[in-house]
Amino acid sequence: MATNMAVLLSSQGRDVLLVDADEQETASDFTIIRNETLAASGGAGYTSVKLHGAAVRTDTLRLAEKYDDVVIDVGGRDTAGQRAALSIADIYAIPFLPASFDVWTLEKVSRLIEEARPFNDKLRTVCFINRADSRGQDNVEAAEIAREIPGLTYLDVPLGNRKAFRSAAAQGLGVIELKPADPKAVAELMALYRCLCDITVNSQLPALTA
Amino acid sequence: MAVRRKPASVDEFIQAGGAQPVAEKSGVSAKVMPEIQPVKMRLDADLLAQVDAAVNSRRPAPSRHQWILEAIYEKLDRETKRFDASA
Repeated sequence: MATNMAVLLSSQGRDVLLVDADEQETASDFTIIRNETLAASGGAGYTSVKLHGAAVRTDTLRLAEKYDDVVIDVGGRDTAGQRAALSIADIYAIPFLPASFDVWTLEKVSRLIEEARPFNDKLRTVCFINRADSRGQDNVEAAEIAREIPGLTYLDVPLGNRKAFRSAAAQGLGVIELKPADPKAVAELMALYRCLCDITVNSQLPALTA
Repeated sequence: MAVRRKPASVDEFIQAGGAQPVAEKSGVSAKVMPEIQPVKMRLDADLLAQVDAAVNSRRPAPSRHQWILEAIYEKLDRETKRFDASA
């Protein structure tokens, strides 16, 4: 999600900083592949840095003024890096699977967000379904539970479980750049993007975390 | 401890994040990044074309860089096994 947002924002002419604060370093790996894939056309199109722990807060704050947008990729675990991101982000966007364990995790995240609020009064927190099922009731049931979790705003803009997202990532591309294009995947991502942009429209530091 | 006092500072809040490597808490990067040494290769154009064809035949196609890395690891793996068998 973070890499797709970074690609989308940069495609709009924005100067984007992608902060990889996830120990798995997926965003950095993605950027390495992307720089190679797009070497002939100038590389990734955004700046990527790896930060961990408290440096996610201190270094991002220092770098943020040089960019139009900052996207921070944090893992799902409660780490110092995730907390540091929560202490500075304008929006915390949480993707979750339409499955019991993922929905239950949202409640833990909700409590962490409440801990973070005293240090970041501009923080807005949203969640959305990722890898949504193409049929069945699980999406609806997961959304119902997510809506009930305090401190989280459920966005009804699910991303489907589409191969296009994986194929694009394997080539270091955003799903909007994949050829042949998957119109449904692009439409889903654009719907999420528009939702997040609406939230950040009046913000001075549109930092997104995923 | 069921009841915890509210963190007094943002630093305290951040450091309360569990699960990160201990080294990270001490300010040292937990994951020691291997030194990356760039290597410039000179390849026959036909050989490179064969590599690209192999790359493009995979679905999803890896990058050329990734494909060459895989080849290196496979070669090293074979050589290591051969050495171990003869030892």
